[in-house]
Amino acid sequence: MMRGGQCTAWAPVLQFTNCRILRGGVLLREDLWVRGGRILDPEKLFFEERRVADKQRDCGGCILAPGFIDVQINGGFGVDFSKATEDVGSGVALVARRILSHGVTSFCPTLITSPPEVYHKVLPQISVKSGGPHGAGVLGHSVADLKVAEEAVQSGATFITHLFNAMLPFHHRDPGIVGLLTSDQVPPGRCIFYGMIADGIHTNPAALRIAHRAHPQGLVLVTDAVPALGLGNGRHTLGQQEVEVDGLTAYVAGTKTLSGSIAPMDVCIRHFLQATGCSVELALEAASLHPAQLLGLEKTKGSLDFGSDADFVVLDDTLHVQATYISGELVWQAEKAGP
Amino acid sequence: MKLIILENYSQASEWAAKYIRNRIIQFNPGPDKYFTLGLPTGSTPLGCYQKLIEYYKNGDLSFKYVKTFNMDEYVGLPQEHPESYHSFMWNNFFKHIDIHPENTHILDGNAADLQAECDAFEEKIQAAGGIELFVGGIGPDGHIAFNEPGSSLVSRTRVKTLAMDTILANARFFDGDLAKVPTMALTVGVGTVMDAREVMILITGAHKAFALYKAIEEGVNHMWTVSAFQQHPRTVFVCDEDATLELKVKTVKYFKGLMLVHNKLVDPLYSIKEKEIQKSQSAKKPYSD
Repeated sequence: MMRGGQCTAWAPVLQFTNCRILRGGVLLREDLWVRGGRILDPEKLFFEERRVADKQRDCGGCILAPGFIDVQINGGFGVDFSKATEDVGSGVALVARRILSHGVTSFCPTLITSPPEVYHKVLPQISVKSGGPHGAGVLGHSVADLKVAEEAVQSGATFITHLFNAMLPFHHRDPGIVGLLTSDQVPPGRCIFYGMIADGIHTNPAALRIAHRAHPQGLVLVTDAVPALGLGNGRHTLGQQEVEVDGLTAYVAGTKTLSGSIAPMDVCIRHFLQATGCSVELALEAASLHPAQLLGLEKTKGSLDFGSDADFVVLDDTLHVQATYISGELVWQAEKAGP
Repeated sequence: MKLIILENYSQASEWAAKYIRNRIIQFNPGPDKYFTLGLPTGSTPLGCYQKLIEYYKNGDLSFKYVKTFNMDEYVGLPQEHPESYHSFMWNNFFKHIDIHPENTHILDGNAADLQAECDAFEEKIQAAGGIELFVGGIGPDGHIAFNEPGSSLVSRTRVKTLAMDTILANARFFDGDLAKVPTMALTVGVGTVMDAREVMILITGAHKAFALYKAIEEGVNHMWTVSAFQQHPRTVFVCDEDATLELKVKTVKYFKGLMLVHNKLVDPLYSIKEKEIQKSQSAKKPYSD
């Protein structure tokens, strides 16, 4: 799908009305204007081009939030990004299409710690790709299980993977990685981001609240989803491991060790909101703006600012996904209940 | 003149909006006959704009065949600046109603040749058939638009340097920093507004009371340019109680006594919905004398 450029002046102007949009950290009662796959400034259109919208769409009072960005997702729907196959691309494409219903418009396929041969086979097959009706955009891959310490931050590390999980607990004389949240050793102008899996299982609500209150602007909601996401109960493969799914929980087969989450992104957002009591705006930013900032893409992704890519999600007041748009085009829609 | 006195800001705003609504609907505008409206900015007309938006949203009023001409705009302020009058009109009025952008006219304070821009504005007003109703406010120094004290009462659209009173009054929109307030503006002249077929001035608040007194109880004087409208055949001043605080009791009593008559201008309140019903029933209109 083409975006931007001088040719968009002739593209149709879409006006989404009767909605609240997330802009500047606040939910505003404003219309959202889109042209050529980007968010448009309607005031400029009015005074400089003297034009009105070509099409209007009534959003029924819903919330319009920037499309969610999942920077840590290991697979889903039976696809395992860490599996060295000949056709990684199809797997990525399948997940890309299925996560649209969770409101995710961009993601980073994640590989878990694997032998080097796996990286060499898989990584070249994962290419950056724009989103569209075929699926969410691929922003590049990420690698999990980074060991991060203050020296690592100094050397450029910016993201703590799933805070609290798979790391030593906070101790008041040795805060460890958790202490980075309020570290005074972070170079000025840098922000430490940290992923949190808010699926209701991986992190206790109190721990979610402590992290959120200590450093709200760095919180990035991630799914850390495993291939079992979207599949039913039973046994499935993840990298070099076998996992057992039971309801909303996935264990390393034969143990009680958690093995990744299977909660979709919108479920994580709702649970995060309920557990921390934070504002709707912050919960939505944790899944859109903050991951975009982490990846240095905030100029085009993660917000509904003028000029940004028109990737957004229509939510009802309980933050359930009603529709997903990429480049201003409807790519997923919930089935309407009733007549 | 008609001096309309309402109890408070909210009622004054509503009266004014009803008046404008009735005037537009009774004019019966169409593709060959636009209703030309002159418009102000500032805090005084906000309540009136909100009511007009409400009438549009309820389907009682349409701006499809209305052409608007704003009174003024700052010089040198980018059009997208939140304090420009373009931004004001977009955020407080245009974006909420069904007016077509080509039917709106606001002076361009960033034009290469400012006086040419002003002359062109006068021509656009002429081309539109003149202004049917010019709505304005009054400054604390009695000015209409940016026609500061000393402005010619027959002036036309031109560049004006702002008086200190005006800069002080506007500082609150620029973080209270006098250095940030523009010092020049393009404005319609007193003569330009006088050419309108009807003029409506909105005046609310005790801080405008002295200006209102000077405008209607003293003589025509270029130091209080709103006083020029004493010589206009059709002027309506809409105010709240606080704005009348400097007037003679006699004046206020006289005009309050006329409210029974003046309220007939807004009651009955017309709606375009009725017009559609009337059109479909016109064949079955019962006999009436």
